[in-house]
Amino acid sequence: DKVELIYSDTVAENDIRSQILRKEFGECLGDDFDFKSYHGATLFKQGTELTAMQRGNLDMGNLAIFDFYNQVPHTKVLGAPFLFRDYEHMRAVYNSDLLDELWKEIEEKAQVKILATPYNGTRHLGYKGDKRVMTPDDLKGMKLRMPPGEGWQLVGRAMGATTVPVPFTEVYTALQTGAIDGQDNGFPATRSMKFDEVINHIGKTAHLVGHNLFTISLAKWNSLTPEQQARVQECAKNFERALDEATLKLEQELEADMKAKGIDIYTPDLDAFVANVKKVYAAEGQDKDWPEGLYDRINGYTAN
Amino acid sequence: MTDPFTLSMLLIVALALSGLSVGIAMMCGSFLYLILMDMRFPRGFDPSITTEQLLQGLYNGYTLLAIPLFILAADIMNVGSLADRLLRFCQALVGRFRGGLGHVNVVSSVIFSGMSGSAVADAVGMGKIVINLMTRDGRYTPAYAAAITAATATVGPIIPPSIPMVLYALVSDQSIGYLFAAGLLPGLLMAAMMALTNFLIARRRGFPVDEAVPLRELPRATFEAFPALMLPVILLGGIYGGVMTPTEAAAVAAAYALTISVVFYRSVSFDAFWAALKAGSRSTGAIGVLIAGSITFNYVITREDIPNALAGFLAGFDLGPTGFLIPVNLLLLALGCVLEGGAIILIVLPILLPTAQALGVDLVHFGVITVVNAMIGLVTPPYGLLLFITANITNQPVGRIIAEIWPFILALFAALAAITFLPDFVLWLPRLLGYTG
Amino acid sequence: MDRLRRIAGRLAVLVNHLTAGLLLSMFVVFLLQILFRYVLGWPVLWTVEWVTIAWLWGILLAFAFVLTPGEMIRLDILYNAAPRGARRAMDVFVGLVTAAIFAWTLPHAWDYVTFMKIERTAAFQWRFDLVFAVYIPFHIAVIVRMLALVWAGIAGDRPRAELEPRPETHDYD
Ligand code: NA
Ligand code: NA
Repeated sequence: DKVELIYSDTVAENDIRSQILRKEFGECLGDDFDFKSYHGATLFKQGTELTAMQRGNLDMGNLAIFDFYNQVPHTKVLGAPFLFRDYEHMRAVYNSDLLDELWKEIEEKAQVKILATPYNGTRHLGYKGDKRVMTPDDLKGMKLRMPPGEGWQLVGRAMGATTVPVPFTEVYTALQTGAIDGQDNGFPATRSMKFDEVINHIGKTAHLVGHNLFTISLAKWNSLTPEQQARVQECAKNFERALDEATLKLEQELEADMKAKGIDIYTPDLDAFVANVKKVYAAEGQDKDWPEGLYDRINGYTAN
Repeated sequence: MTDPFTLSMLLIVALALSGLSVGIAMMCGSFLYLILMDMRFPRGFDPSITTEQLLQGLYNGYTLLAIPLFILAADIMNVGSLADRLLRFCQALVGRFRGGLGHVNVVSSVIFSGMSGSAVADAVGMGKIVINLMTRDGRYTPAYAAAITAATATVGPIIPPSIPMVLYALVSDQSIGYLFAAGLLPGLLMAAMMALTNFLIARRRGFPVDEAVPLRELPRATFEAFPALMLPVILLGGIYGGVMTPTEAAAVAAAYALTISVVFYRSVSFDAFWAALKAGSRSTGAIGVLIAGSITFNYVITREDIPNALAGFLAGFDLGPTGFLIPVNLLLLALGCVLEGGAIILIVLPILLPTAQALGVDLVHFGVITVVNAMIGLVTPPYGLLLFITANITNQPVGRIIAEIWPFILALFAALAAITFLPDFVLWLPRLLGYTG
Repeated sequence: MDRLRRIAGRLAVLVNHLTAGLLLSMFVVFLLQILFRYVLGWPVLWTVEWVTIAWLWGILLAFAFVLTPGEMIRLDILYNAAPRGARRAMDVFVGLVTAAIFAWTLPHAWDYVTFMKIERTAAFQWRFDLVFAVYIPFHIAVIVRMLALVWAGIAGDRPRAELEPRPETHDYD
């Protein structure tokens, strides 16, 4: 009898990421498994996958860190801007044992197991304007679109912008009409949603090194044999590797292409942004749920 | 397709045909499917999924929030004397031609559509007044007045704003802004076709030329109607000028209608406003539960992979976009004979959309086609909401209105054909505004 | 039965005032949101959350306690064309099946709504079991109304007036 794995995420059905998932995870599992994936939030709405897994109605998902904020407040540290310097730093941290305790806490409290942390692109400031945004002060009065949801809005606020929660599908029009001045997606989304047609600057803030938590419900996990568990874990890592590689390649190509098409791509004063984020988080008390010293341990981590 | 799925489909049809609210019938189908599957499988089909989908679907549908406010805006316009002022203006503008009040009816619907997102609101509000005007002194038969009022009201949700377009945006994930823009030219085309029909009928039957409102009254009529005429400009300007989202625009429309009714026309009492709120919240409950029911059954359809199966099945026939759109038009028109517009969009579209996308049909274009079909469905017998409403206003049997309305239905079919086969015509304005599809 | 109908009628009037108030609050809060964001430049989160909750509560309360069947979206051609005896049979069928399904699923619905206490809303930080609590009276009201329909079908005294469609509450098409 095959093991059925029901999976739901919010990425579009025909997106390259969905194809990579079906190939590198789904096909990798082999004949013992029946991996059924539903994309584009057609099965469960964005942000509701975790409770669906906990109630036994969903086996797997590719969750955002924000999804854990209510149930495991310690995870809030992972959503903080500038926690990771870049992709290599992020990957090194997840390959280390720094987060073992947090992972165990998630398993206990949320009853799900994190299998991998696939990289989905670094977020930068893309905007329309007549001058470069170098510091948080330059962001003053600028209407920055951040995805709806308090977790995202906090990030935008901490960067120093006036945030506007516009739905993803309306961002292009909003940029064009001037309802918003900027958005904070990475290169791949900027291209696939054609934002590069309506912005003229990209400040490479890299404020979030975007990644998801590729997750399986603990009940499902515990129902598998050790061999099956090993297989699922191995294929999850396989998917992570493939998505990392594809995203990095795409980012590099798109950055070069957008530069060639005349978009001003530059690196702002990152220290100023880091300082502003720290200030806002402290002032709002947003760092009070972070595990003692974990931010600094992650932030200062270097693989040897 | 599993047996539980087939059974739950049959249950929905049986319950709906026996007169149960369609939304509750769909919830019953969704519950039944999960109960049966839950007996078969150890996990993954808890019946509470129906409750979960209903609550999360309503809770996470930001664009849906425009619906109650567009309903409220129309209700406020209908309690104020806005409609009277607009009508006076239309009379001064086109009343002098043969079949004049028929043309007044068409033009007033076009202007009203720019403020209201609902065809029914047009027929109930503006329609009632224009019918009185037409049938006074026995110049037009009540049945003809009812027929042209019902037919022209269909333009309401084609010209922006539009509640059915918001529903389509919900199921298709397309931008409301572009959908609204795409409706403008098709709406004007439909109105032109109906003016032409009225003109031809008026000539053949020798309808009277109405006493012309003297041209010197036009400036005054225009001045009085001006605040009302500005609303569509403010709405579209606000949306495309980046001041507000289409959802917020709905609130602005309601606020504007209230303000000019109170300040400019001094015609809305608090009691009337409260009555509009009460009626608006009842309408919201009715459409909201239909939305909720369709969300719960959509889960079942998705879980059973029906849309993809249909897309795969149709892929075997090697249809082009045209080969797909003609049968879809026929299907939607047939459904329009028995279902309300919103129900067609919410129930049938989720199944068709993946196929449309796979065949390369532009989804904004497809949205306009769908909404036009759904609106034509409001005037096609046996079940045509607009037929019932105008029959009710004029105290005529529905049969007599049907006898008068068929030339207008033919005119709407012609407009639908043009809208279906001329995507560039439909997409011209959205592209001008930056749509890249 | 008549006394129950009178109570239901009074409840309908009362709840309709409440849903009207919820709609009014959506209207006002949306205008505030535009004011905050575009005039004053303040980012606001609570506005959309309030409007969303008012929308959810308004729908479920209005449907459960205020709407007559004539105001609901129904497919009534066959029903209206059927002879009286057949209509009564349909009422009993619809009422029994729907009441049975909703009664069977009530514990599941309760389980979900109470389970949601572990999540909170983004802006107000309200517990989701409270935000979703309105679903339970809705679910129970469906059962009660369906049992009343069975009774009306058996007794043959379903009031015609409740089936009359009222155009002013169908203005979403
Ligand atoms: Na309209
Ligand atoms: Na009209």
